[in-house]
Amino acid sequence: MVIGILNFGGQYNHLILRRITELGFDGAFIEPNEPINKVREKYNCLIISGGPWNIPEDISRTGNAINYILEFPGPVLGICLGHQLMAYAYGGELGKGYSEFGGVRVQVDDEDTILRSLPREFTAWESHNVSVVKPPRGFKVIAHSSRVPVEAMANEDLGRFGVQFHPEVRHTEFGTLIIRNFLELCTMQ
Amino acid sequence: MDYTSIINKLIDYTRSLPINCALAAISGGVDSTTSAVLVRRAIGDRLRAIFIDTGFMRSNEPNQVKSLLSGVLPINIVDLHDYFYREMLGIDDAEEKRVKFRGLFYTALSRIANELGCDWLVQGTIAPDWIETKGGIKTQHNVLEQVGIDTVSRYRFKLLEPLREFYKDQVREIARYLSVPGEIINRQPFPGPGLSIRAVGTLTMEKLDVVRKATEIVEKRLGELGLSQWFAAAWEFKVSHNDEITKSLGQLGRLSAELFSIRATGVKGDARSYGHVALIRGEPTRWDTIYELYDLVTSRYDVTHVIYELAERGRGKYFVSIRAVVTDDFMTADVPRLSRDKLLEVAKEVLDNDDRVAGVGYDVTPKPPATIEYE
Repeated sequence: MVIGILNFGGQYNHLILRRITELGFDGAFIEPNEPINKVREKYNCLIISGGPWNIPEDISRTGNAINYILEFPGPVLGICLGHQLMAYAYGGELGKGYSEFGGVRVQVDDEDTILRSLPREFTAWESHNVSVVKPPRGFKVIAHSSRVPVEAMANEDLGRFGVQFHPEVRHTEFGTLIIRNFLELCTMQ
Repeated sequence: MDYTSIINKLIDYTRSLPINCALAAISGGVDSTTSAVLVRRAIGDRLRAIFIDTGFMRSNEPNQVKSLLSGVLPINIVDLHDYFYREMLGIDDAEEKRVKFRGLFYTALSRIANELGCDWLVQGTIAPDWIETKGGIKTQHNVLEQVGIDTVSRYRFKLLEPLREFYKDQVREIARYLSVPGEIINRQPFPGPGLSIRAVGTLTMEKLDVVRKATEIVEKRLGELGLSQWFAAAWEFKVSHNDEITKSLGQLGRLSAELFSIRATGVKGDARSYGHVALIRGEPTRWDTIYELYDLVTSRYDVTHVIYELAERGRGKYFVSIRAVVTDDFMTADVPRLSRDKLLEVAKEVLDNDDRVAGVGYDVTPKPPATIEYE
């Protein structure tokens, strides 16, 4: 099984690969312009990672990311920018003015899927100007913070999951557990 | 991870390269030392190690490094401080300093490599270096190929960066396997451009001297606390009051906010931010509140570093910031919750030790939104 990591040049993308490798899985970077049929062939699940773009104005810089999100048959995890893109792709609402940087207390609303076995509250590390303020239809909000209403969301039927924070960085509590939860969902496909 | 097999692979790979002589630029830190030790394992005395004294080192650093490395790696100290001072004094922009430093550093290395007949350069570039440089956060001096600089045509050497895919905690593991001395393994990181980027804003001899003296005190006083990095930075104590930020702090105590005249580097939403540095003065509701100040200030305003003022006196030209962080991989960093007494003690010593210092504060900003350094 190979996990594709869509690389937008974000600060923590290489750390995602490190975590996946540490958990005993194979991962590889995907450039945003890779055609969807190639991505479909090569990877079992996808992580759409962070990057310096703002959605929606920088949408043209994100290559085929929206297509991967909508059409990829396996599970997809969106992190930060990836989470925002996922919300945008399925019709959720984004907003500015809810920036979070550094450590943020995140409240778990639904301890399931990618947040399985997490406590009700934990500290996650964040770095974003844009936020998901309303989830797309069919997505459940599974975590929030005092400032941002959608810190994590899930649509189990579609196999789509998003987190605004960065589970791949060391300062996020239970970050590795969240990545492992996602990889386990991948193996169940 | 299986470090023995990683090391063996790196040694085999190095042996497979057509190296006549490889020059290693050593800073005495764990990255450059471990890279050189690794390559020396592979090619023996065809590795030549040097330490360039840029003039931006801490007190007595060149000799300390030489003695730390005795028995591990023979090094030659090359004193180039005149060259660096001549070219860099007077620069005020952070990126301009870093880019200028890179050019000077590799021009010097190119000349030395050429004199020694070395056709390769070994350097301790690690993952965060090229990630931050490629991401446009800041120019790390040791990132060349990854940003499209062809070293063969420009400097006449090929690059060997055995640790480029690793993070600091992994490099420390590799260093342990290679029996690098503990003092080097645990040495706190020190940036290539050294004190030139901790003398924030316009680079002057006086500011370098202020930051060098303050660094000595801060390094000594915070040295036993198990921190990942701890140092001092200095800049002109020129501030202007900011009403809007002051009002926003109302709930956190009787506090007021000023903005310094200099700017400092941060990383917000995966992008570089060269923002204001805020100075917060006054009485927080309780001491730990100072560690919450950054969130309010950096999420709403163009501010990358928030500093809580510890001590001030009416005379003197400079402000000294005490910077301390906790991190394994230096990709994210938290601010250690140091006690007021401890910080006041250090601040007082910095003031007592240097008449040119007018105020001292503690930087309470994690990474992100700040970077660990200021420039």
